[in-house]
Amino acid sequence: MKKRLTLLVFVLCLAALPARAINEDVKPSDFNLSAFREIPILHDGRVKPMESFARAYLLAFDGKSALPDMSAIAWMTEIVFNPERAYQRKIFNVANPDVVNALSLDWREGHRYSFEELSKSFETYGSTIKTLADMDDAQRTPPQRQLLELYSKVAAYAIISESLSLIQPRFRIHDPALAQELHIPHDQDLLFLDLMPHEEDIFASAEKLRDKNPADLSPEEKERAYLALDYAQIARHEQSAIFRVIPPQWQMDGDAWMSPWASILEGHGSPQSAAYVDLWKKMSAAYLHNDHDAWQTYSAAARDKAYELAGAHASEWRQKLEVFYLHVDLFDIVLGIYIVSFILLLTSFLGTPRIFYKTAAVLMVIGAFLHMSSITMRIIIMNRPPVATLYETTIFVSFIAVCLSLLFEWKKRDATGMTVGSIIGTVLLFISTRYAADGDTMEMLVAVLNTNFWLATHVVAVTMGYGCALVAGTLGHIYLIKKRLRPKDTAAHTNIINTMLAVALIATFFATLGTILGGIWADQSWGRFWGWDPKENGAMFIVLWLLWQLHGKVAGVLSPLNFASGMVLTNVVVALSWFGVNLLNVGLHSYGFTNNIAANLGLFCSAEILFLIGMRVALVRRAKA
Amino acid sequence: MKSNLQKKIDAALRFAGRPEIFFYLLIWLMVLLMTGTIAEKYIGLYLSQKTYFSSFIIWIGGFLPVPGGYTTLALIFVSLLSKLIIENWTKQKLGTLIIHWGALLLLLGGFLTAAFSSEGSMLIEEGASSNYISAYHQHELAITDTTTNKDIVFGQDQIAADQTLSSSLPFTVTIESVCENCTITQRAEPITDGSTHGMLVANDMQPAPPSPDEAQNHIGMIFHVNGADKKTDGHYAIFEDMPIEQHLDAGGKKYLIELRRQRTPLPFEVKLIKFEKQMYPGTDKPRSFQSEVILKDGNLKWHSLISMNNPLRYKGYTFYQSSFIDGENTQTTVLAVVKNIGATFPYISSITMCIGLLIHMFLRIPKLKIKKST
Amino acid sequence: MNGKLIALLFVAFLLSGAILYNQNQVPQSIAPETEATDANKKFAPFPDITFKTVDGQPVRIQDLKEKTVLVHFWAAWCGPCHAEFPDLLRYVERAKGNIALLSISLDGNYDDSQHVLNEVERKHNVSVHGPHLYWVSDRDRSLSLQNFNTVKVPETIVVNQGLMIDKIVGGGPWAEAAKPEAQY
Repeated sequence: MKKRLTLLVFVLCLAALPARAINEDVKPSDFNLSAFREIPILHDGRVKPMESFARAYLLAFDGKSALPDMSAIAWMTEIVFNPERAYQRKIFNVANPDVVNALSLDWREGHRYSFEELSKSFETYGSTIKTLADMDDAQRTPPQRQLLELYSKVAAYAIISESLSLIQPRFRIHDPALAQELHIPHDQDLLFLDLMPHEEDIFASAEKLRDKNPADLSPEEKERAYLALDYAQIARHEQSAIFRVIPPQWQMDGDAWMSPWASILEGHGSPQSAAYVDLWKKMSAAYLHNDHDAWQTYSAAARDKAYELAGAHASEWRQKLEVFYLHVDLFDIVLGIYIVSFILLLTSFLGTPRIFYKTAAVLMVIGAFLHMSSITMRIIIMNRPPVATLYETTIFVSFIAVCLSLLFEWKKRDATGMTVGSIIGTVLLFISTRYAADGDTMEMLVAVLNTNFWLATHVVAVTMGYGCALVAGTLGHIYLIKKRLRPKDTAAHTNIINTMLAVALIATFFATLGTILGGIWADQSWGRFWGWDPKENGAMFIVLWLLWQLHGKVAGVLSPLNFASGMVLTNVVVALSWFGVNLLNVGLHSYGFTNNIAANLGLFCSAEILFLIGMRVALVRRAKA
Repeated sequence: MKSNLQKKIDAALRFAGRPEIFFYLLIWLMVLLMTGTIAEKYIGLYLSQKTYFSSFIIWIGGFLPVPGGYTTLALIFVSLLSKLIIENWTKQKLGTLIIHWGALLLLLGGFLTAAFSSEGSMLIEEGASSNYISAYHQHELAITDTTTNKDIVFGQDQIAADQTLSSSLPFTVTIESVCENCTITQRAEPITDGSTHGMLVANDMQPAPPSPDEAQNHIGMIFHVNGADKKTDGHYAIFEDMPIEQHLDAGGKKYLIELRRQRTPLPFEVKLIKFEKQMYPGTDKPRSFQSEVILKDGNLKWHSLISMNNPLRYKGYTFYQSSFIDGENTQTTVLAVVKNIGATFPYISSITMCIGLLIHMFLRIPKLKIKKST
Repeated sequence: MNGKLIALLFVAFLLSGAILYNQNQVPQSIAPETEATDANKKFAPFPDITFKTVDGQPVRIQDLKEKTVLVHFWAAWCGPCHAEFPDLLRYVERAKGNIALLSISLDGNYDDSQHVLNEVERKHNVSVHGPHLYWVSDRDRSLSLQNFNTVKVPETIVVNQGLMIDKIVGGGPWAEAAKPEAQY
């Protein structure tokens, strides 16, 4: 709460930032950012390259990882080096008209608003924000929650924009007498840092004017007063602590990196950090003067210095790999490949030449390989097993499903496997993009999850179970479709049933193994093997469901048709267990909740059930005919 | 030659061990699982577990009995056991046999845990020691003689309205009302006629709707003391974890009255030397916590570090790092303590089941004849 | 039936073994993780700066014969600086030549600093003229700000054999330190 209030004060104060001419010629995209994007920064408990930091915030504010006219990293340079210009950019995505109205702003197409507009509105509605902040979350309506979220975002933006204010040229003394009195160079661009040693004198000089009527002040006296006022304004930025670019220098720092303000004002400075801050000063000057050569030199020097200072706290090659990973955005490519393969396979069902099938096969293999490479890169960058967050489950399950499908395809060669693989791959990767839009997908884990062994075993086993179960489920769909379209092809039907049985067995193995490993992990961590919490129950449900289907088939209670129908419903079971349990938000497992999940989940389950009912009705009709 | 009785037993076992039985029992188990899980959101984990999973009978609408979790699992156990006894053991069935034995062990372990295990928590402040475990849900009323430090304890079943608690104490306590979750409101006018003492003078305690989150419920009670002396006799109120201690004087001694979680004494003592927590730098996300403790049992002084995923095991008890409480000057560690004789079963049964599943897969899948299509 | 009996007995044996094992577990103790970080940490060398004392004498840390140098920042307007001086000076005295103090004053006018030092000498009976004490004036604060990013005082950087091994922000633990010469 206190934090909120201080943030409120910031935003309000920002509206009164000392006016400075905006240099319109400085275009962020013109600068060579190859070195700047690799500069390490501590954010969300993790040391990451500046590229990652920029993208995470742009995603949070705008919902996209790049702007139409510039990249995220270019956008970030403008915020820290040329804040006044950045304030005018319309990058805040306010999608709910109710929120726009609550701030007395005009609704516009694209619903993007600038910091300038929003901070003015927040100033006007400051008391509303305070009241909302004091309320219990359960009592807030969705637009109110969104308004508060927007406020936090705008406040974070303000803080980031103030990060380098102490090394930006914001002061200039025109009156020679004043300059002499304060022992400060006259008619020169001055930084806050330059003025810091003269703080007492600046305030003393303004003190003398305290009792005078502002309207009666001479231009020289006004300059004195404004100098003190502007100085005080910038001094408030000392709380700016998001931009943690200065690595820990001393024992007392531990693992914590500092923002430039914190480093200097809280005594964390050292000769090395001073040299590093000096490079940032030079970068700032080069940027504002549009001096591309100087920028390139200094940003490269800063990058090198940063890694030198960081030592063991930052791994340069890992950061470079992360920048590469972000740039290449393999998952987008893989998603595209899966979609294209699916289309090609669909057309091959309609009897087109074999070449379509072969192309699809090659594409799927390439896709699977790129998929694997992307996951591997993540493992290397994060230095932990592949599946630790909900986002990571979506990309891993899709990979498992694709691999399993390709394996069966290799045995059968009738395009069924690849179709299943391409469908599941497409759907899950598409879902993953929704999660990626939340911000940084490489987050740190809370203490209890922070253990490589169990992450590598339990979580991987469970997600493999999901993947295999989804393959069995999708095969069920194909069985029903084939039975309807080609009722006489009993050999093909039996083939699919057998494949389903095999896949269901494999799924049962992994699901059981994973569930039990989860229990053992819980026993090691909390002393109880089974706590009946929703996530555990969900995993158990998948196991029971699969067991039920298998026993039904073996006992003869379920006919092949009913078994296939049960397989179709397996998709629903997996979806509910995977995503649905998070909605219940109870127990030790509650993490990974995103908006709209309930709606989308409901839609998916309804669609599957409708499909099943529809196909069964169609089959009954066909049988009667 | 089998006798008639043996034939009847065989037939019964054969019937009980049929896969159809498991098939239908599974349906019910899945229904229970789904209902219980959804209920957790509304009535909380503890209550839902008690009603749906850890119960023998569930009364739908209060009058229609259906099998609860324990009953269903017990029936599955019987079916499984029957199948294993009656079944012919062939090489083909090796995989499934091992799986089923593993499942049997799992159920057995589950039974042992449910019947015999106990768990609780220990809160220890840095520098302090504790030699008891506090239950999670059971409460007790403790009246301690502050001169001798001996306490008389009344268990959960005695904490109910209209119960009179008598003991070696020189006074009796009659419970007037108990609330599972209480709210305290200030009275408009304090009661000054001498019939009421302690916090009840200026405050009233009323029952409040219980919260699904067990931790938010504060149990409380209003009681009447008789037989101490004129000044002390009267109405009192206490609730769990009161910030101000409630005392009463009787027979020249001062007694402390507390409503607290049920305590189980340990045959040894655990002292917290230091609690350390590490956050991810620049965030409030916890990275790791650990408690440095010394376990004192008679002459044995055992130094140990308890952290997430690294518990301390001693004499059948296991101490896990569960959580912590930030204090002004010192930290308090919260340890979860479990005593469970069935703890090793899941391990044995898991290994067994997985070996069984692997064998079964390797035996079955090649025979499924997944051929190349024409 | 015989094979089954054996299997049942085997399982019963496993069960009892499991229960007994659980009961008799010996406590597990994990040795405290050694703080490996400090021993292996690489310390940065103190920069090559030639300071000038108020007496005009040039001083370079790297040339000093004392093994440990405390590079100290202070100012007359800083209360905690006054408070820590007596203990700090005694600490250096007790080290008997192993520690040098390079004290940098941020005062615009060194007279103010000198005034404080004289008071300290008078009131607390410690000498400010010892052979291991070097006094520097950073009148315009450019040295402390540009080279060290230091603005708040007191701060002390501990330099041992030319390497900066620690920084103390605020008053240091000079009184409690047991054996100054063995400290570093």
